[in-house]
Amino acid sequence: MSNPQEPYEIRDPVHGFIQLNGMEWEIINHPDFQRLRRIRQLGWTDMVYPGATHSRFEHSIGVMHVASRIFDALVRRNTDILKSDYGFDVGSLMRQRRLIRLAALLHDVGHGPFSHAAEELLPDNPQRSGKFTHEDYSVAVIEHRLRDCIENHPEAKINGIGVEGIVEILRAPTNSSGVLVWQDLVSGQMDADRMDYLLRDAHHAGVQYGRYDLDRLIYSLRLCPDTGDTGAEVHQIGVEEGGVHALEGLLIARFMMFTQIYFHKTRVIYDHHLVECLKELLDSGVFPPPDKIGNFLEWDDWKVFGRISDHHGGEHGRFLRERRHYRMVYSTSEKATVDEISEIDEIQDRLTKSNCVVCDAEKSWYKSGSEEIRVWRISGGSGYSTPLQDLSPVVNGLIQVNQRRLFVPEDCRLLAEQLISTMNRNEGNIHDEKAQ
Amino acid sequence: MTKRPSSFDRYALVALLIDRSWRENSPLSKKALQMKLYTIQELGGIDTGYRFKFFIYGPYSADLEGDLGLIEFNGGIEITFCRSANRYEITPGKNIDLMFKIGQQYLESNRPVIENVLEAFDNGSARESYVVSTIAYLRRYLPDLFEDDERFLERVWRFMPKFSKQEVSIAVDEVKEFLARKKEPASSVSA
Repeated sequence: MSNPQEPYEIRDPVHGFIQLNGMEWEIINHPDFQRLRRIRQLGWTDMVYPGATHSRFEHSIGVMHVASRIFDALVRRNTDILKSDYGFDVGSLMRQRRLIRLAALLHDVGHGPFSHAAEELLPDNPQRSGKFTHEDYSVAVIEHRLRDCIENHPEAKINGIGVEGIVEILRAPTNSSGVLVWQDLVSGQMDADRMDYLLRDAHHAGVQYGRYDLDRLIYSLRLCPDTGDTGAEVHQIGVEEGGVHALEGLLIARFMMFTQIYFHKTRVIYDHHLVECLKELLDSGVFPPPDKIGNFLEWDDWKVFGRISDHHGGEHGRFLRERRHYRMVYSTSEKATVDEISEIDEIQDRLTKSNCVVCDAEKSWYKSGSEEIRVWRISGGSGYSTPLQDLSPVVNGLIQVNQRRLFVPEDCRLLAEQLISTMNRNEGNIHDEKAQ
Repeated sequence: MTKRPSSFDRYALVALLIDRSWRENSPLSKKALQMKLYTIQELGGIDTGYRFKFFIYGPYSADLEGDLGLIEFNGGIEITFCRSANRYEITPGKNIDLMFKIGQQYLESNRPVIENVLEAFDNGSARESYVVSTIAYLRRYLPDLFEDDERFLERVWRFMPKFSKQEVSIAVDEVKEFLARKKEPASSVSA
């Protein structure tokens, strides 16, 4: 018997009313999903933009909503390709839609406190070089904490929904190209995650930079064939030519949000203070690994705030508590040349006694450059796909920001600035001598 | 844990591949470069500094895409859209030697392995690179299946049904032969 309350609805500040089915509603009510209310989307960004206190909770619901809109647009436009090239039929497409919604809803359920800021303290993954990622934790939560909630739900049994189907979308498909074609949608170059967070972060920060025409963009989406240089035709999510300017809007928004919000000089130094503070708070200085997912989930923003408020977290805890963040004393240009990078390395060497810190845009989780997205064009009655950069000089000029900034404690600022000034003067003299 | 490659190391590695292909008269496309670096990382066991995701069109690293713009900005490479082939071709830029210089140490310590991978898989077309990188990807996530020739071949083919089974089978054999020569454990670097 269907529940008279279905479909459930949540009023979202960005997308308006978002509808959910019974299983999605139950997942949202699970304590591990509710924990996302206590994980801020943008860490300590509210120290610069006071409105930016929104959480992963609302973002996750927004991504689910956008993902299903993208899915519907692609199916509406490209059912033939999905059937002929990827073996879908009406039933399997309906099942895939449910799986994609769930994967989108749960893609961030494994985030640590203050989102990406804490990711630096995830432990090393013995299976790979590098650390575990928040996606590894999301998969662990789904597999070990939400399995009952998902698989024992009547809707899961009716529709053949299992944890493995959700996890495969989030992790790495290994079954067939049928699943692989949807990878773009959840974590690709033009994915639902990005489409949601730009609008949401802009809304809460109170800036216009992140705005773009979501409706036009989604309406223009289609699967674009690309034979590339392999000779075998595959498809990726692209746009029809009429949607090029909406897509440009998205990419420019991403660039602007990066320079104005995500890599804002004060915001990034707060990330540094948080990491140093957490090193003091965590046993052995790192979060528990995914196989201790229960212990990991105990960590949320509230717990960290509480510890900082109780005067834990060392001197960086104090900096956070008293708003005595490090100050920027030097920066390269947004597109740093090899010379500039070498120069900032040298300054850093000279300032070691000042506890200086370098924040590097390249290490940011957020990206700012253009990527290869395909556009479907009709010419002479036949269609073909071509890269967006070929059609858009605007996007062609969007180069990844690799700016580096140097920060020192407040009480070292004057000394550091004097030293840098002396170095610059000496370098100027050397340049003058060379010129003569 | 060993130190990850710096941006200069990554620039140098990209420059090396671009220069090598250009000298062999077959400039790399952006996609072919992505596939080659992925293969070097997965089968050579070298940390390239890039984190890849696998899409329907093959391995892709957004960081590598970002680096290409920056290397071009620094004069290390030139990227040209070749309309007739519908792809970007990458050739050495006027400052390519600077790229080698800034990552010299990294290149020197990894060159033998890079050369081994390139020699083993560089004679083929971009089409072969696509098959090889897909095999490398599935091997990472399905190490047990990789040991079962028939089932692994079937799985790879499910990923690329537009390729002939024979084509896939030859590439699987090549990968297995390469790994047997190398005798390296399956899981040393990140996907």
